[in-house]
Amino acid sequence: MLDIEKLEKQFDEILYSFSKEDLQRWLKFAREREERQRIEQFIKGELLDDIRVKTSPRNFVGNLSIQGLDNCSPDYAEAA
Amino acid sequence: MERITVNSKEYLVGYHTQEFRIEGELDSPILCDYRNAWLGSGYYFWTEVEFAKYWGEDFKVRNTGYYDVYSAEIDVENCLNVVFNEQHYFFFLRCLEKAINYFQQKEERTTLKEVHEFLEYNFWGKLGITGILYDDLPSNSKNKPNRKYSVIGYEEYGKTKFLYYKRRIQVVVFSLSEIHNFNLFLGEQC
Repeated sequence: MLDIEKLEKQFDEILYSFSKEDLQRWLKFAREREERQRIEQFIKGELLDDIRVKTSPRNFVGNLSIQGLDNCSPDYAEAA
Repeated sequence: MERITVNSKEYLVGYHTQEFRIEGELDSPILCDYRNAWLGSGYYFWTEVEFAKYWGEDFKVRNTGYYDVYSAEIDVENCLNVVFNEQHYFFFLRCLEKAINYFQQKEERTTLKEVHEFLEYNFWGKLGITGILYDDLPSNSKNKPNRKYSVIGYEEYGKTKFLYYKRRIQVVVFSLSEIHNFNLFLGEQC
C-alpha cells in the first residue's frame, strides 16, 4: 500500500534537486528521443497511412523535413 | 471493473488492443513508446472490454481490417488510483502542478505531455509507483452508432451533442513484472 505522505516528501526532494540546467538537459533528451522515434517509425513505414499534415519547427530534424508525419491520435495511448 | 483473486492476492483485469497479426498472437503487451504515450512509456490497458473494442474498431484495423483484444491480470497494489481514490488523485494532481510550476519558475517552456514523461522517467519508479489508473475524456471520433452504453446523442439548439456518462478508464503499468496471464481474449474482431 502506498504511503502518500511519505511519497510526497520524497517527490519534493527529487523535484527541487533539479537545477535549471538539469531541466534543460531533460527536455532536450525527451525531445530528441521523440524525434528519433518518429524517424524510426517513418523508416519502418508505420507512419505512411492516415497522415495528417502539420507544420511546426519540431517536424524538422537537421535538413530533413518530416512534415506531415504527425498522425498522433488525440485519443492518446496508442497501445491500449 | 473486474478483479480476480489468485492465491489470496487481488488483480485487476485489463484489456490490451492491438491490430490482428498474421504471424501469430502476442506473448506480451506492446510497450507504448514516448511518441504516443500520454502518461509516459508503459503498457496501457483498458479496464473494460467495451472500450478495448472501440479502440480496436477505430484505430487498430488499418492494415488487416481486424483487431485482437488481449486480457491480463494486473497487480495494481502499488498503482496510483486517481479514478476512485481521493488521496491518490490529489497527490497526483499536486505532483503534476508542482512540476509544471517548477518548470515555469525556471523559465522553461514545456508541454503537459512532456511533464507526464518527466514524472514517469524521474519519479514514479523511484517512488515505488508501478502504474496509474486514470480516466480520460471518452470520444466517439468516428461517430459509430453502436456506442449506446457510453454515449447519448441529443439535440440542443438544432445541433447534435453528445453526453458521455461512462468513465473510460485506463491503467498504465510501467513494468512487465506487474502483468500476469496475458492471453488472447477476442481474436480477429472487426
